[in-house]
Amino acid sequence: MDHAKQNKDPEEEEDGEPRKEQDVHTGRRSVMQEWSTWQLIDSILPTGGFAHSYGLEAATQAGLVYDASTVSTFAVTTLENAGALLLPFVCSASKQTTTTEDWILLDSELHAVLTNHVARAASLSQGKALIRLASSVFPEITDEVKSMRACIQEKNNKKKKTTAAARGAHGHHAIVFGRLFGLLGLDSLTAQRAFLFLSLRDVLSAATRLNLVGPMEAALLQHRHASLAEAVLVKYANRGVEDAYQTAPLLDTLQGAHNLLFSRLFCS
Amino acid sequence: MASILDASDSSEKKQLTGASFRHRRGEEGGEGALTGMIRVEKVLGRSVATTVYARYPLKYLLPSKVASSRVDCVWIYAISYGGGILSNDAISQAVEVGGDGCSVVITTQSSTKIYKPRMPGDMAQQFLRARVAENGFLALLPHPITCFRASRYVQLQEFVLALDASLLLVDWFTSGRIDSGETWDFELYRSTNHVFLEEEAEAEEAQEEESPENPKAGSEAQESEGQGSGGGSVASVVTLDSAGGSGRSKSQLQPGHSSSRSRSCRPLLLDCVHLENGVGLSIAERMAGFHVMAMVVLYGPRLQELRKNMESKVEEMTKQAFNRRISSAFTASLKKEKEKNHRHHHHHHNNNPAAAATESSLPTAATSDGDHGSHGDGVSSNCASQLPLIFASCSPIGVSDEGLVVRIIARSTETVYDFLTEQLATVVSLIGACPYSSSR
Repeated sequence: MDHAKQNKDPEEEEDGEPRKEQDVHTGRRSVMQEWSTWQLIDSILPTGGFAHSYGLEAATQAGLVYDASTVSTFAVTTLENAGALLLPFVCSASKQTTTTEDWILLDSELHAVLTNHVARAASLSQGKALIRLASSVFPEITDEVKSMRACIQEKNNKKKKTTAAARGAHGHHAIVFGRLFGLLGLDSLTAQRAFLFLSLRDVLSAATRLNLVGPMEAALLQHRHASLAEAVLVKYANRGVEDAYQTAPLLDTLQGAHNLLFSRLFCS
Repeated sequence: MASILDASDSSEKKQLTGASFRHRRGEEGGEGALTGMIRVEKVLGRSVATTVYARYPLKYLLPSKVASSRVDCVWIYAISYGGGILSNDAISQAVEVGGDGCSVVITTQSSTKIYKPRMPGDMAQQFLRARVAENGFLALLPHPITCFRASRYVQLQEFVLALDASLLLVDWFTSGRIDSGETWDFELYRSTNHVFLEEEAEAEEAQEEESPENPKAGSEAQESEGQGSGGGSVASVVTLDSAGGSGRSKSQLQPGHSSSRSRSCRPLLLDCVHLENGVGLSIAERMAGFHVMAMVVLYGPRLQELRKNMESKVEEMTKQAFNRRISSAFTASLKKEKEKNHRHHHHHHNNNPAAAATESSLPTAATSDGDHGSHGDGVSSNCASQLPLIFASCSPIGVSDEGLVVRIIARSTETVYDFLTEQLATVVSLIGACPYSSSR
C-alpha cells in the first residue's frame, strides 16, 4: 500500500483518475476534505467519546492492567479487535454507493455483532452524539443526515415492524462514522484509518484519566503504536461485514462486567 | 466469490455459497453431502428423532435412558471417530427441531480434539445448521473443543428460531492439552455463531421454500425407518446441499439472507471469535493465564428462569472477581509471570523462544508460588488460591432483551464444568439430565 500517495490525494484512491486530469476545483475540494478529516478526528469535536474507556476501567479493576506496559498491551489488543470487528462496518458504511437503506441494514447487523452490552451502549451513545453534531456542523450534507436521524427516531417508535428497513436504525458509532465520511466525499480508507486513530486515541485518553499513565507517556505510546495501528489497517481494511470477528475475548468479557463495577469513572 | 453475486436463482446461490464456504475455508474437493442430519418431531405426544443420519467421521448415539422418563426430551450424542477431528475433515450437520414442545439435547461424549495438520494449510471444520420450529426447544451442550499444537479449526453454527422457539447453546474451548503444558499453541481457532429469529413473511415475500437443502425433501425415503434410535448410518444416500450459509452474502446486506429461508430473518446474535497470532499480541499473551473460554446463549420462553438465575450468578461472580484483594493478587501473579519470562528469556536466549512464550500462559497455583518464595512482594502461597479463577459477564440480546448471552473465561475446565452443572440444574426438568455432571 502506497501510503505517501494516500496522504497526497485521497480522491485518487477512489476513482483512479490520474492527478493531472483533475482541475483546480477538484484539487481545492480534496484539500478542504483534509480539513474535514482533521476536524473529525480532533478531540475538540464534542462527541462525548471521553465518557468511555473501551473496557479499560474494567480491566484495571480486575487487576489485568496496572502500568504503562499493560496499558500498552491493552491498547494494542483493543486496536486489533477494533480492526477485526468494526472496520468492516466503517468500510461498508463509508462507500459512496451506500444508501440509507443499506445503512439501516448495516446497523441492524452491527447490533447483532456487538454482543457485549456495554460496548453496544457505548457505540449507540457515541453514534447518536455524532449524528446530532453532524447535522449542525456539516450543512452541505444536512438532508442525508436528517434522513439518518429520522431513521433512528423511527427505531425508538417501538411499533412492531416486520422488515429491517422499516424498523429503522439504532445509530451505532462505526456506521454513523463511516457514513459521515462517505457523505462528505472522503474516501473509505481514510475513514477506516481515522476510526483506528480514534480508537487508539480514546484508549490512551482513558488511561490518562485513570491515572495509569501521564499525558506525556500517553503521547509517547500514541506515537509508538502508530505503525502497529497502520499494520492493523493493512490487515483488516476493506473487508466485508460477513468477515467481522472479535479477537480479544478476555477483554470483551471484562468490559461486559463494567456496569457491575462498584465505583466507576466511565460510562463504559 | 464473484459467482455468488451473479447467481439470481436462490437455490443456485445456496449451492454456490456452500461451495465457497468450503473454498474460502481452504478445503478442497468438498462434497455437497451432509455428514449428519437430525430431525426431531412430536409423535403421539412425545419427542422422537424421526430422522437420524450420519456418515463417517460422524456417528450419532441415542441412548434411551439418559433423560428421566418423566421428561420429554430426546438425547443425541454426536460422536466423532477418534474423539476428535482430523485436520482435513469437515463435519456438517443439519438439525430440524419440530414444534409443539419438541425437545432435544445434542451433546458429545467428551471434549472434541482437533489434531495437528498433516499438510500445511489444512484445517478441521465443523458446520451446524439448525432450525427450531414454534415452541420447539434445542439444547446444544457439547464438551469443549481442544485444539492441539499447530492445529487449525473453524466452526460455524447457525440457528434459525421460529416464534416462541427456545435455544440453549454452550460453545466453549480450552487452551489445549493443559496437563501436558501445551496451551494456546494452536494456529487458528475460529467459532462463529449466528442466531436468527424467523419473522412472519410479508405478503410479497411469502414463497414456498426450496427443498434442496431442506432435510424434509431428502429424508422422505427414511421416514419409514420410524424412530431412528439406532443412530447408525442410513443406507440410502441423502445428498443434500451442504447448506452453505457461510455468513452474510456480500451482494445483499440483508441479514439472514444466506440462511436461505424465504421468510425474513432478523439477526439476534452474530458472533465470531477468532484466535490467531495476529498483528499484535500472541494468543497466549492475550489470554493472561486463563485456559477456558465459554459462551452460553439463552433464548426463548422455556429458559426464562435459567436466564434470571444466570444473571444473578454472574453478578455474584463479578463482584467476587473484581474484589480488590483478588484483583491485587491477579496483578501480582501477572507481574511474577512477566518477571519469570524475562529471566527465562535471558537464560535461554538462544534456545526455543516458543517454549518461553508458551510458559507465559501458565501461572498455575503450582508455579506461581513455587520458585519465588524469596521475593518479598508479599505473595504467599495463600494468594494463589485467591486469584480470580473465573470472569463472567452477560448481555441481553433480542428485540426486547428477552435473550441472554453469557461469556465466561476461567483458569480451569473444572471451574466451568462446575458453573454449567450448577446452572443447568435449573433446566433439568426440561432436559432430564445434565451432560456435564458425570466423569469428564
